[in-house]
Amino acid sequence: MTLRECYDAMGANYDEVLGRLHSERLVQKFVLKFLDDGSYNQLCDSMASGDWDLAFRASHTLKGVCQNLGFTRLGESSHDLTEALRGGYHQEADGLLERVRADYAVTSDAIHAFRAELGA
Amino acid sequence: MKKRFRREGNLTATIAMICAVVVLFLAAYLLISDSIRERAFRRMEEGIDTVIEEVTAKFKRDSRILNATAEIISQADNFDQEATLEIMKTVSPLLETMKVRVLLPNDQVLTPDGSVTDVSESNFISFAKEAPLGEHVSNREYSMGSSAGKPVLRHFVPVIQDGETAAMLYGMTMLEDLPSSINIDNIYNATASVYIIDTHNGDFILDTYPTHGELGNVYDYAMDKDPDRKTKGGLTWDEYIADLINMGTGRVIYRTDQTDGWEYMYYAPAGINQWSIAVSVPEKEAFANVFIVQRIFLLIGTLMIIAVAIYYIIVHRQAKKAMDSAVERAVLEEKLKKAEAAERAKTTFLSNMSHDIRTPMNAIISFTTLAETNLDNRARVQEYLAKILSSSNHLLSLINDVLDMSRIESGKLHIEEKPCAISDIFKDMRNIIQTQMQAKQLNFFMDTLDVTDEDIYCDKLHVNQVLLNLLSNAIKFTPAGGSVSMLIQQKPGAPKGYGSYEIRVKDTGIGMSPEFAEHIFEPFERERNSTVSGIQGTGLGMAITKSIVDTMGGTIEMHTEQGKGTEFIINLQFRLQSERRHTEEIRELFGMRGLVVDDSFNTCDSVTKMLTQIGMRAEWSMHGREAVLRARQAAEMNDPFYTYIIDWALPDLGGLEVARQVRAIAGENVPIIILTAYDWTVFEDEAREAGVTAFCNKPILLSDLRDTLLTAIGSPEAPPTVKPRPNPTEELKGKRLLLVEDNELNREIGQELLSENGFIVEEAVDGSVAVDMVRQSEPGYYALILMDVQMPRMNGYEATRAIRALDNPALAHIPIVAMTANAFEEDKQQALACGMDDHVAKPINVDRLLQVVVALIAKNEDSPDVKK
Repeated sequence: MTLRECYDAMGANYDEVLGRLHSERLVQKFVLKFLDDGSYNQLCDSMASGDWDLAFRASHTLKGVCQNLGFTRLGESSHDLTEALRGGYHQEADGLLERVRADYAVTSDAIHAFRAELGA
Repeated sequence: MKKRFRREGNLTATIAMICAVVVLFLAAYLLISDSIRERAFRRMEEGIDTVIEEVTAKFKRDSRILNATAEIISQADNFDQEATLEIMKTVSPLLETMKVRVLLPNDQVLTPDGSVTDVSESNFISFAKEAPLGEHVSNREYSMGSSAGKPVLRHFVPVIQDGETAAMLYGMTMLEDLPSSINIDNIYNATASVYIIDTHNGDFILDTYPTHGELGNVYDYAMDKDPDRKTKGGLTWDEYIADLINMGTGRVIYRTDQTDGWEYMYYAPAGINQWSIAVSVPEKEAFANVFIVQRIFLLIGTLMIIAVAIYYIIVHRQAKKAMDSAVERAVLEEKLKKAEAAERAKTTFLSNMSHDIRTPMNAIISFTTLAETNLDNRARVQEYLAKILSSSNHLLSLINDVLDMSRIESGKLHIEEKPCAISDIFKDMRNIIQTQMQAKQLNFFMDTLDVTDEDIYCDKLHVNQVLLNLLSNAIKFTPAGGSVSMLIQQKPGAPKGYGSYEIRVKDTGIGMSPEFAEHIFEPFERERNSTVSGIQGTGLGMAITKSIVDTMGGTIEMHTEQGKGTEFIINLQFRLQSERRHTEEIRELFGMRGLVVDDSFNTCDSVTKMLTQIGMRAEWSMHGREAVLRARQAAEMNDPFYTYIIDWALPDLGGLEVARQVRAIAGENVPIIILTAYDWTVFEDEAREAGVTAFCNKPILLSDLRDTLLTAIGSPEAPPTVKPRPNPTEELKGKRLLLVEDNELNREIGQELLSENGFIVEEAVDGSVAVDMVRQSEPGYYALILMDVQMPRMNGYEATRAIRALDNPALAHIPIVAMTANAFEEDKQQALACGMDDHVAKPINVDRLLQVVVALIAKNEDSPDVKK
């Protein structure tokens, strides 16, 4: 699997991130590091515990990371969730969180697959 | 109450009520006044009856006295004059109505005061003739006579002695004295009149009516049908006469030309000699009380009506107030519903942001793709990148405005006037819209007309937003093969220092229905028909467009016809930049012939005018073949064209073919310029092979034409070509930045990007850490701080404020750049307010970032604050 194929699988924009960061090596490095980024877990935890302030910041950070890496789909869903949480809890937030979960799963699976093939 | 008045025509109801009251009132009044009148009549009649009784009683009494007196006198043995006188003196004062005299046998009259007069000298003479002594005279009561011309009642009583009439007692009553004797004047304020009629012959014995002269005759009067004589109420005149003869009693209400109004007359038998006595009183007098009552009633009635009217008015007003407040409540409810609907529509809109965003986005994507396929052509790639940059900036600002709807609606739209060239506006439009035009196979024309002032002050962003909105709508609603055109025309009549411009955006699309066209500029309106509902839209575009045009002080109108197309006309005034850039003429071309070939007259017109301004002799043709022929002719006549400006999309021959043929005629040195609305790079190679010297975009502006011509002829005045951006890495090697960002991944990305470009990057995970690091640093250690805004504990704004508050001025003035995911105006303002120098939007765009950083570092190094 090439990095481009990984991006396609994630609904992410490889050309875009390459345009900004210029270096495929860099992109690959950060994509792999994404799995260690804590903002997604922080988001899920804070949504569960009802800490809306923290949830907002977590989804905002997650959005920022996705934007940096060109993760279009996950970036969109985390953007929507961020906006919904901007003023505190919103009834749409739960539905939007589900979208984020789904998109994150797809993203994470693709990266795992990519990493697995790298190792091999 | 309310319901009653809610019905239509409550005014009629009120009037009906008032009428009913009035009718009832009148009825009551009539009844009452009738009974009062009756009572007054009764009173009068009773009064008169009493009077009549009294008078007849008096008569009868007096006559009894007279009789008795005669008896007494006759009881003496001989008639004794002395004794008689004594008796008369005694009796006389007892008589109430009569004066008494004694007629003596010697034709002498004895009066009670003792005087004796001869009968011939007294007023008994007629009496004496009537009743000579010696004859037996029957006791004739109350015969009429006259004394000194005045009517009298006479009563004769003979004194019989020894069977012979010894003397005659004579009682005389002046009829005139009658009314006063019965005090009738007192009863009716001297307005009553008394009549005594002898019913045998109808003669008036007494008539005290003030204006009546001689005593008349009532039967004669009745016979004479006087038209002015009227009766009402009681008997008619004829009935009265009939009743008179029968000695009846009754009332007659009459008037004649002699009476002053109606007279109420009551008649009854006098009880004497078949006489009838009548009393008449003027109506006013008789019913003075009634009139008073009438007036009182009238007053009460009027007051009542007024009271009722006021009552109803008050009630009506209250009902109206109740209705008004009900209406008000309804209006408020309506407003609430509208507000709720607007709120819902806004929410829907926000989550459906679409077309306005996608248009420039598509431009970015397509130019990026183009750049990819042209990687080895540096110039082209640079150009594409410039276009991508302009679209991106436009997109970002558009997002600001579109998301910030409420600000636009509350009128806080910021119009920032900056210097701008009209050709830039066209360039922007072309860049953003042309791929879409081509994709949808639409013909796109841009033209100018009479634009003499190309450099203006305007808010290009918003002008672009307006034009893009109109153009993208035109694209949306025009089927393939149609055309979209944009025309900018400068119109005369603008105030000094300003230019008036009219922009027309026209399409040959499906148009709009008249009903929809009415509401075109209202927010959230969408046409309801099957064709259109399939087309995506936000419902807000036209409302925003109109708001922007309004805020700029311009007007926008629309003409549309279903099935034919739509045209928008915008009129705006812009401030002109004061300096004219340079003289228009080009020395090298002065006096030369130029030929413009384009199938649009507008273009031919504009460009020939421009060539003339440049100093050439300009001509035009709308057909390629003709142009070639004319070129040949001009060459043959030794006055060849020295410049050709040819439209690429000529219908008959094609611009390139014309260029080829003309090049063959004209030779190598003549500039041949191709005009096109589209991106010429697509056919550039082919064009150069055909002999084309240069390209120019439509719509062409004087400055563009000039520049192209100057370049084409190789003049030293030609503007320099765009220089590539200097490589930042060399300048920046070794500069240290402080990167403040809480997310690890983002930090690493930032670190990598910046290091690649030569910076040394130190990291801070938090605002407070950053402040500490700065505080403890040497001035000049950090060249610039990149500050993320959204951070826990201490956010970017707070950290900036803290740094700006540091004691050491060199540290306090370190350039700080905000990295913000939001690029709203207010966030920019907030960034500036807490002391940040600039901001970049996330996701990080290296070029932009480098631009900002380099500029700030350079500026800071120029300022004397920094200690190196």
